[in-house]
Amino acid sequence: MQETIPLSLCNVSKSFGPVRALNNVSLSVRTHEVLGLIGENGAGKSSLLKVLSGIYQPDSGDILVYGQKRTFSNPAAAASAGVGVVHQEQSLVVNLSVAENILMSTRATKSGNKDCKVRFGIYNWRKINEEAAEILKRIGSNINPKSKVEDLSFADRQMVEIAKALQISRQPGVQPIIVLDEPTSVLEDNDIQQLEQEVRRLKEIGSVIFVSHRLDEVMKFCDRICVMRNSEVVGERLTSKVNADELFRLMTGRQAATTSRERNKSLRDSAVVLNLEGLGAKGKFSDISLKVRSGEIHALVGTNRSGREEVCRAVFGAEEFDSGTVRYNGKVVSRPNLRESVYGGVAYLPSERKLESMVAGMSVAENLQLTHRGERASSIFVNPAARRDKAKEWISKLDIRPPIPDADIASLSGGNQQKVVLAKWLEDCQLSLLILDHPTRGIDPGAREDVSTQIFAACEEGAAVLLIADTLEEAISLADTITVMRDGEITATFDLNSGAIPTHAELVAKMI
Amino acid sequence: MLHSDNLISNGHRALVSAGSKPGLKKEWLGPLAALVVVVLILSVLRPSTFLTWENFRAITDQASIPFILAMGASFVILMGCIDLSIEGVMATAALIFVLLSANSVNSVDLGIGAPLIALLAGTLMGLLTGVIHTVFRVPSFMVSLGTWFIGLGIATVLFGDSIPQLSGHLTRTWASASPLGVSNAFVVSVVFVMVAKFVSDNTLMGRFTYAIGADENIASLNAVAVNRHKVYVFALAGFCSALAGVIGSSRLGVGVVDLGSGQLFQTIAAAVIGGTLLSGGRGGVINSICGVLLVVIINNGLILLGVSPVFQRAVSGLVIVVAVVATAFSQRSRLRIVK
Amino acid sequence: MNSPADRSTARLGSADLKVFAPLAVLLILLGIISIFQPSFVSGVGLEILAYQAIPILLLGLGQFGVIQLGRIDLSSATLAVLASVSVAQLLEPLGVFAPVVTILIGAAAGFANGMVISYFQVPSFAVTLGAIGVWQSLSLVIANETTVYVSENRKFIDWLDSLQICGYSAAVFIGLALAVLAWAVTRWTRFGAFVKAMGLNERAAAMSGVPTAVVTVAVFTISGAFAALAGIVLTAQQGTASASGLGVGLLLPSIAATICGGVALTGGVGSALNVIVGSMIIALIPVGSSVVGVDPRYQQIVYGVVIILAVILTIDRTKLKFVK
Repeated sequence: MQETIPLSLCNVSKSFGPVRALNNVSLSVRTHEVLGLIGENGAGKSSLLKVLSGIYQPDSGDILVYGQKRTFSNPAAAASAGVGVVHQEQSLVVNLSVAENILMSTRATKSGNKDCKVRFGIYNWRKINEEAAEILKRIGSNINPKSKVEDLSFADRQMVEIAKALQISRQPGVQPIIVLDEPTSVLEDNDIQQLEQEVRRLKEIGSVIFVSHRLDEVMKFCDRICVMRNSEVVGERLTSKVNADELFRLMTGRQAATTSRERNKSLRDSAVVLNLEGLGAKGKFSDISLKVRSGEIHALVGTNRSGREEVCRAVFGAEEFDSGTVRYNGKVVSRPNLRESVYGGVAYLPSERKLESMVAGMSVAENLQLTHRGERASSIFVNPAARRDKAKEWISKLDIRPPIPDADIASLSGGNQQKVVLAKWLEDCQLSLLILDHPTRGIDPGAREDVSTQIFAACEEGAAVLLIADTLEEAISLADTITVMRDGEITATFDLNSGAIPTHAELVAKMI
Repeated sequence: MLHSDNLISNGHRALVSAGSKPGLKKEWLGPLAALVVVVLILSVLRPSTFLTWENFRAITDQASIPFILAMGASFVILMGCIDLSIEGVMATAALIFVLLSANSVNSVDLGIGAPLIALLAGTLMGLLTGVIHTVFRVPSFMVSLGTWFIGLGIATVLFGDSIPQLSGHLTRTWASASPLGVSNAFVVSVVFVMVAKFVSDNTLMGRFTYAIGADENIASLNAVAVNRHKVYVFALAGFCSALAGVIGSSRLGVGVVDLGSGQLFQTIAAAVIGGTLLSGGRGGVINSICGVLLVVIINNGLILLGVSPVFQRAVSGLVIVVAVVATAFSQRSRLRIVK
Repeated sequence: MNSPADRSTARLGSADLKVFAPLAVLLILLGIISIFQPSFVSGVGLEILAYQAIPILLLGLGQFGVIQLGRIDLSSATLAVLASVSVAQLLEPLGVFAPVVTILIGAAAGFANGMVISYFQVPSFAVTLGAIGVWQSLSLVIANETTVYVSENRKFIDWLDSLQICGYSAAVFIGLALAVLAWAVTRWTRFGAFVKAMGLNERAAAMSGVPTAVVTVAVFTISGAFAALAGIVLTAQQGTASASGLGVGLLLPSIAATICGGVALTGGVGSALNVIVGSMIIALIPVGSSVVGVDPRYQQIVYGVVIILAVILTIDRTKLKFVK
């Protein structure tokens, strides 16, 4: 029976000093199936992936390939067993062509160069482009192999990554096992459909392991789901026989809390904090008019080409706009400027945390006081001791772990980093507009709740919130108003306080 | 050398929209256009002196050594590193070449062996720079600064008390002889450039250099032996400097320590003006050639125009500034960070 | 994506032992020299060292701010030369104001650098490389292409070199004081926090409201002022100034001094106090070679080797994300 199973792990354990990354983990992948691997951050998913792909070697336990014991001492060994991993981070060389990228990764494998695509170091472009075209066709993509990666859209780049993984793992007599590590974390609904088709195609060729912390997607894509918590596998279920609540419970050990709030019906009389009139930026968005009131959560919903991110960035001053007006607390702001926005009580949480909102290498305390506003706006001096104390306050308020003010922010987990960044903005109580771009992206449900609580609290104190949510469900459960955008224009507005809560389908209809 | 986020390999949406806008199809069109403009201007201003065969000869002679140096420098800069040791390696190679050929100071004459050994020495020095940079993880700026001084030092020790002069007929005249109409030195440099272009576009050496310049981590994830490759490229740069040293001393007829004086500035200026970004991954052979020609022709033009040498440096400097500003002007945006 | 393995190595955001590496290297070098010449440290050795090191320190301090931002100022040494000829020429007409005006000239030059770099969003390496040419030509013009002898009103700058306390000139004390000031600013002012944040992640700093353009221009202006001060000290030390003078060769030693002081070329890391140590290390190499009795012809080789060794030992690799 074992002989028909392409890959299985039996009682695998792995520790790093006192820290246990994997504890007696067993799982198997069958042919032509999509296996979901789900768990919170820190549950052990990435360690498991690293064992599967040969980056880590287990301290104990076995890896079986078609019933035979194998050691994956390096990624090449894993590849020879058919394992190809599409990592969460991009692994393409952007200034080279698609064909070159596919070539580079396959050169490492034993059979990679047997048709002499590269002889004495010299490239045979014809063969290289041909092979790339062939593998791209196999996964149903029409990307031109000669195009440079940096000219490709995000979704296309992911297709190339999948092509690479497939190529690496294409061994004779072996079914490819493609591992997708959080593939949807940066894709929008539109691209996710493309990915769905892709996964179905891969399932016909071999097997797929789909790693995610998003319950709804795992349920959509996978045949079978394996749940991890605290470095162990705590359950395995057939998708058809399980529901989201049970998965949540297995993942977190808690009951699912519906983070929705009571609708505040008295918003109509609140002051208008942000008023956009006919805002437009050539090529990005046009004629955007909306109002956000004090205490309101206004969600912008749409696909990744809808222009909603650009609108938020334009309001904050990170990007330009060329027509229309931005009115902030009644006054016209002709050219929003980063400094003035920050000092005027506007906060912006960008979706790219590592690149745009946290300074790695500086401590938690230093990151917390990066914006010098409010009472500190006019002081030239900085008091490290007072800074540390303030940081301790916020650490306990938001349950930031580890609770060390001098810890380098880069050493915190994603969810904790986001909490620090949020605290940076909340620190000054005079916040009147909070712009949140995917605030809960990449952070696990526990941290997500903490973040949501803080956002609600800011609303209670009068802040207006402009939100780009991670999922439609999140938007529906959190927002007072939903504005739908498509191709840079507003297609619909829903006022949830009036009782008419839109369905998922209604929103999607306006988005595409 | 100093990394900017021009090449954002993560490709996330927000940054793609705020980062570099799609550039020209061919990256060297800008510098080439500038070169054409400069040539036209000089042709109009000084047709009788600029557009002569003698002047063309002079320009090609002037450009020979910079062409060669620019090739080595381009590969290094494409990786995002820098090689400051050019002048030191030139000096060492020059002295070795002269002292091992028929000369006025000793009785050694290794014939063809002399330049070969000099080239080997230069390559080894480049290798040393590369190895120290990769093994000890010291920025190339600092390592090559050290090897620059070491190179000058070796040359000083070899120099001894009196100037070694080449006494062989071939060694003294070969570089300037022009059986093909232009000097042999220029012919060698042009061939070198063509080989370099081929290598950069069609071989592992070239493609991996670009990959490393874009992102070292990603390159290594893609089975590029980054450290080994860097060492090769620095060795190549050492070879180029040595070749320049051999040709230069052959032209001068003597071996002196400050043979390469001023070449570092000129080579880096040429790379910058040509648009090979110092952050790596962008630009290349043609860019650098355009840069060299711009520098050489502008200098030539300044002389023909009778500009006092006092102002030549300012003009060269302003050209560099104008070149980078012009290249970057269309890319300006709110959040663009260039270091 | 933080596994337990990653979390167990939560590091502290600031100080660790590597900060003392430059000092250790300096002490080792002094130790080696003392073996050959035991009276070096107790005799005039340190005073000679200070004399040589002070221009390097001043240039290094200016460079410190620029490098902290992740940029570089290649024109600082040439600016020092410009300042040295300027002050030499200006002493006669302006007397006591000559040094002040010279520093203002330096600051203006730095300001120009900063404005071009910041407004046009162009690489600092390229702009300051070009600036070298411009300052060189200006120097030649101001010096009338000859060596300028300082005769009138010498006293207004002479004191920098001749006023000595315990054998150390006033310039040394000024330099040390400025280094301490720079350190204090980095640690205890908003400006310092801004520079550090910009050096580590300029984009995030900008998105948090840090006035990046203003800070950049300010840092380059300061670098220009320091370069001018270095030039004035050079003129005071030598009594003459020339456009092809000592200053130009100080660029790379001054950058080496900053690096040996543990400052990373990528920015955001390092302490101004260590630049003092770095400049002493760099100045010590030629001085020490002579004292130890190295043949003058070999000194350059020694210089190169020791610089490389010093940098290997002082670079804080844990803070460097990548090495180029």
